[in-house]
Amino acid sequence: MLRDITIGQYYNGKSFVHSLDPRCKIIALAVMMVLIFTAHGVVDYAFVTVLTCLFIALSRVPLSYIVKGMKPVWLIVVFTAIINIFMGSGEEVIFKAWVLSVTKEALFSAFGMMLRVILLVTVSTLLTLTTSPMVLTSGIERLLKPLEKIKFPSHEVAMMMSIALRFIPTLTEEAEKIMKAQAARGNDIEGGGFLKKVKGMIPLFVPLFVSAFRRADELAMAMECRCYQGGSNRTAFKRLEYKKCDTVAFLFMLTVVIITVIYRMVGFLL
Amino acid sequence: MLKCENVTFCYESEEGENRIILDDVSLQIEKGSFVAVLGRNGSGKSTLAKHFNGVLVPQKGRVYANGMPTDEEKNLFEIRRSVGMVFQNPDNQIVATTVEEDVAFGLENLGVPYEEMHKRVNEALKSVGMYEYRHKEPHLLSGGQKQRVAIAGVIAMKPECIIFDEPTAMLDPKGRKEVMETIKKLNGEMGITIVLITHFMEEAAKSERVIVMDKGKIVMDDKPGKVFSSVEEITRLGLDVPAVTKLCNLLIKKGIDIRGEMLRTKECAEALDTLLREREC
Amino acid sequence: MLIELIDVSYTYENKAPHERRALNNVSFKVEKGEVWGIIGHTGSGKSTLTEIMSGLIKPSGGEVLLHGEDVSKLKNPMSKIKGKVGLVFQYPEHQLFEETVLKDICFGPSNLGLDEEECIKRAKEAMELVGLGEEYATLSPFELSGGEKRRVAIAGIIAMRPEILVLDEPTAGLDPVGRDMLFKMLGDIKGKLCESIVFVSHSMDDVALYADKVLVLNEGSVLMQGSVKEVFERSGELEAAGLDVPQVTRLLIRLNEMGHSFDKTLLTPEAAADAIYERLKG
Repeated sequence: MLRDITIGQYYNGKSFVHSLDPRCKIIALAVMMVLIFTAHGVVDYAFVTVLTCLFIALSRVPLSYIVKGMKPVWLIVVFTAIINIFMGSGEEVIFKAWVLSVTKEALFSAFGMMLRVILLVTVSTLLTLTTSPMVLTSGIERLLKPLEKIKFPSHEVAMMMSIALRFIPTLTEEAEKIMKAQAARGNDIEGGGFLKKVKGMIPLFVPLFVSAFRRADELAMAMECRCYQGGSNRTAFKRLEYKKCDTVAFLFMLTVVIITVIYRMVGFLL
Repeated sequence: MLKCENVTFCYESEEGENRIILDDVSLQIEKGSFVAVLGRNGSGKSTLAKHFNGVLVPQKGRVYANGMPTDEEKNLFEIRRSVGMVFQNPDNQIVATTVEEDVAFGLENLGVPYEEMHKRVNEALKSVGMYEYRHKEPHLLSGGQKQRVAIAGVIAMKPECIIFDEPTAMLDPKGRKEVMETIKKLNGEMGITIVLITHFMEEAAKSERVIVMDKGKIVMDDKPGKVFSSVEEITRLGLDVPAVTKLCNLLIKKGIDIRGEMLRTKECAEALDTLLREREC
Repeated sequence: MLIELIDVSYTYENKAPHERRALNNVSFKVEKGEVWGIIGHTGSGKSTLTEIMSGLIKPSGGEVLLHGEDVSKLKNPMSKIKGKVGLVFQYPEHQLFEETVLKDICFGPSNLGLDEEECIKRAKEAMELVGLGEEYATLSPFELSGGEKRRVAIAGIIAMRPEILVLDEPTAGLDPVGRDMLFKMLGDIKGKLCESIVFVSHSMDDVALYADKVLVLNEGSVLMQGSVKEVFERSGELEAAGLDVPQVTRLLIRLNEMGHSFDKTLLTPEAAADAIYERLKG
């Protein structure tokens, strides 16, 4: 069950998107996020959807893999949609019952909201699916490097992130084991009301935290034993090289931004 | 290679009482040797191991690694490069998300240049037989494989000595065999000094020298054959002896004359075969 | 008969290849008073089998009969099995979570719906059985040593008074003394509380010394089952499947190959030494 979460996981491949520089992909993700957030109207939605589909196609990650990763966010998506449908205001009422009414505008905005959440999750998942966590963190580290001038610990932040990503599968496995072990003691988180559910989580979380702390302790020692001293004087196993394909990707994203800006300016002026 | 001089180490518990873990331990480990440190849980063997590369520093006494005292901060970097360490839990010592990136971690820390680093990572992975797995994610490997990755991460740093702190305690028999074979190879073919902390007598029996610890002290220090032939003493210390050694010891007690070190099935079978044949004549 | 598995199968999906544990048509039954040892390689399906026995997972095929009643088709097999089959996981000390030892042990019984008084009564009984004195009751389980933690965890299961106690590699990580104490403790528990014990192990020696019956799993199927003697009689097959046989057995087989004739089902150094002594003196 917990295994299905693909957020933060890496899908080994050799596609165009895989070969891009992580910095390029992070920037592209940021651009996409802005585009998705500010999307408004059918044309915008269609545009960002087409872009996202293009990226998926280029990454050659099977669609089923991405859909599977959506599972944990479905609830949020549906919830926001429902709220939007009933809370939104508008003129064209399609359906009315008691105090609740559904308008065409609300339906459209709910659809937009849903689409945006799905696209946001998809593009972010795509980044982690196509970038090995180590490469991703070294990309983040490089992007944050200028901030070191104001004493920002960019290497440490990157290291923390990569360790977190490394331990997601380990801790997931452990969580499953603890769940089973407590179920063997009659712990029931399936049935019962909300309060009972929360109570049923304590026997899961306490051991999981204890174990996470123990792991952190041991890992810190193991890292020190391998001469880890923080970011200074370190060399990198993976080199970040700006390649031709990055320039292509960069120019493409730039074009996308320019087109959007022009389109929106035109829309605004008209 | 490694030297402890009157090492004493205590833990202070929350109630403020001192618990002595290592009690005036002195020993010397020669370059190129394969030493097993055997003892019960809580005998101080793991604490001793952590002194060899300066993870712990004794309250009394001194530890020298490669001639460098471990209590001097400036030596630590070089000590940890030359004295590597492999821990019990294979999961909690793998830092990176792919096998090769993890092996590279130590080299990144040492500041090894790019080309050299890739060469060393590949060599290290080949020598533990994990080269084919270099792009795999660690959590997809078996316990024995994870430990071999951890070993590769250490040998890539070209250490002179590796401390193994119960490396097989969490593995299944297959994983145990894989790791023990790798350790023997490191010692035999690459000449790396090995200190193996364990409570499995089968593993200690593969070494050249067994140091038995109990309650923070060294109680025995000899060749494996000699150590295990004192069956009563070893049993009293809460450790096992090989079943055939025990069997021979029982026969000796009954007055049968068996000589030599009886650790392996083969030797024991041959000795008993000779005795039985003599009897038949 | 307490529990019987008939043609039980199980398939795992989307697991890493090395842990794609599956079971194929496994049948075996545990009678009152028996101690079973289950042995096999990692991935042979041992852990899956324990989880099916205790109702944590449902088999994909076959029946699980508890006192003759098939529980595997129930919507929630746990509701029937709960408390009757107690499962102690590998490294069970990792599941402790309460502030005190006593509270932690009470967790299982209280989930059975028993009142506080009864829970405490059972918890204290369990503590005594695993050899933890009264003074441990108020301590935090996190302050104890590894061996003590494991005993608390086991007490947490037996406080539910299961008829069958199932343990998955109970000796993992213990030293020889810890291992011997654990098996002695299991003996006490069996005499006083549980009808039968089933334990999974990697060690042939442990199985040879402490079990009455052995189930050998290989790649999800039963390779052999029967009394310890019957199984070790076929030690050649065990070795062919890559499983270790006790060193004493190996020695006796070797001697037999050299032209002697010893009973190769003698498992302990003591028994073998007696037999060899007989021959040397006799």
